[in-house]
Amino acid sequence: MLVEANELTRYYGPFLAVDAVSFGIDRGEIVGLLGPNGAGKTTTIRMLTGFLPASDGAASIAGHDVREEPVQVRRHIGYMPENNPLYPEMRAREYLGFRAELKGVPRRVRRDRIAECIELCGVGPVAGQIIGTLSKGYRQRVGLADALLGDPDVLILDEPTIGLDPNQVRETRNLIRSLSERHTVLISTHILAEAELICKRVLIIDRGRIVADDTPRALSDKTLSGAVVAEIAGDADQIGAALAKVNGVERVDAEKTNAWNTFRLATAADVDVREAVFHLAAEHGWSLRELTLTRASLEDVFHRLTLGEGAEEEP
Amino acid sequence: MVNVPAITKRELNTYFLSPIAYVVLTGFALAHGIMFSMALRPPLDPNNAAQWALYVPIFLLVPAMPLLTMRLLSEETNRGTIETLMTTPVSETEVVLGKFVGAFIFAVVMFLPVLGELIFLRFVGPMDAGPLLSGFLGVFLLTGQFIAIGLFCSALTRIQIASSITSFVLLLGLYFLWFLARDSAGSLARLLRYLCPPMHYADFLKGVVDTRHLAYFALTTAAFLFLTAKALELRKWR
Repeated sequence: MLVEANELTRYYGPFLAVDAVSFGIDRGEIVGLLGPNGAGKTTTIRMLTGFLPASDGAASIAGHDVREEPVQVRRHIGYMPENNPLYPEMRAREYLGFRAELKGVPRRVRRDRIAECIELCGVGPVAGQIIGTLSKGYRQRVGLADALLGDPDVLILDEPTIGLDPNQVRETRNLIRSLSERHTVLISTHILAEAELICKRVLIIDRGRIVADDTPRALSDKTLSGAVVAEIAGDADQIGAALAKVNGVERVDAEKTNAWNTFRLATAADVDVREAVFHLAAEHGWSLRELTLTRASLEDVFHRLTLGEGAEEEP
Repeated sequence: MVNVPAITKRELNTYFLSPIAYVVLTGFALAHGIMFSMALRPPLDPNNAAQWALYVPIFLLVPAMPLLTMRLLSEETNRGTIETLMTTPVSETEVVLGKFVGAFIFAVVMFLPVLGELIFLRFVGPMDAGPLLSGFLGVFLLTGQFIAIGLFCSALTRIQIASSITSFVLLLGLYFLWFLARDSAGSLARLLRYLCPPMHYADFLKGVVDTRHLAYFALTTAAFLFLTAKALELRKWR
């Protein structure tokens, strides 16, 4: 395990912000820490980086305990905090030089390493500019370049796309995805699409607790009952009655349009009734022009897990 | 301690980009020049004038140093850069020392006009080197102590103005101990006098380098730097 959190707990005064959170991240994984605002994402990340001490529990990075060997831990992480704080009066290249020195990048390779990170994150066009004059997108790139400077084992990025416009968001996501080929990545986000796009594994955190830990696909598979949409021509009532009898179908909603009827078949989880529906239609000689298994999106899973409501909503 | 130079370098660069630092630089040069010119009356004794030139900082440093030190840590906290700073492999002590040295070097630059005045006096007539050297030693010891106090106040708050007011009041308080000492007696009076910086400063101007005074400045400066590092560590527990 490259990153290990064991029952991490943090109180702010009497307020329990993170409640015994445990997880492990292996080398090469790209993990999203997903949760609504105020769920404890930033606090968890700060405890992992050693910026905040845990009230209870322990964390280790690359085998170094965060509390016992904080300086060792910091050598193994590249961290970009929420809102990406930078020194506005410095020039981008100068800032990266300062950071490389702090991160102990040896003097003889420093220049090359900085040039490499500038290239990788596309900071090149603004490397000589004062950070205060940069657009938010470029600042984000400077922050990412900084996180990469020490060639860390783990990149920890707290809300890396917050406050960016859609194009910048896309660029940043692509950049993170390309970085994940060489680094283990932990990102936090409250944007579901982002986790679904970038991450191979998602930890959903809510009110300080991990409520789910799986691949985005598996999460949507196992959390919500599936549904099949079928479009069949013919007498709606007759077809609906027949469909309701198919093994596994729990509920049928019909919508009639001209000759074609759209049926939504709610089923139990892990049940695929498409084949049965096809045979039923073939048996009766009904024309069938659509048969789709709709998946619950991560958004539904998230909604359900973090609000604690049932799965009655439209899948 | 390998990271101290990096932090010092950045701190110095920031000083030379900061408007408030230039205001202090100019203000100090002006105020010191005006007060120095008051000593330029016939009959002009270069040694007396030099002593006066080195005595004047005792007034000017009280408003100047809080303004120079207020941003050192408050700004990092306010901008959030303390988080990127403290998640690199640097220790609290390195951060505190790096900033201390950076501010100190800037203060040395601030004293350049004083050096200019002394060079001017050298053309007026011969001067004793001893009191000049010990005087400068005293000025720098006092400056170091004030920076340590300012740095500590800067670690306490994210608001720069609050930090500068706190250190200004603290410095004034240390000066006023002299009045308290005057009205009290016995060991209390001795203690109050001992804590009062100007009481330790005067001897340096006369050319006396007393280890008691050296120890006083070294101890108080180190104590405030230590407290600053502790305050930085404690910040985590808030």
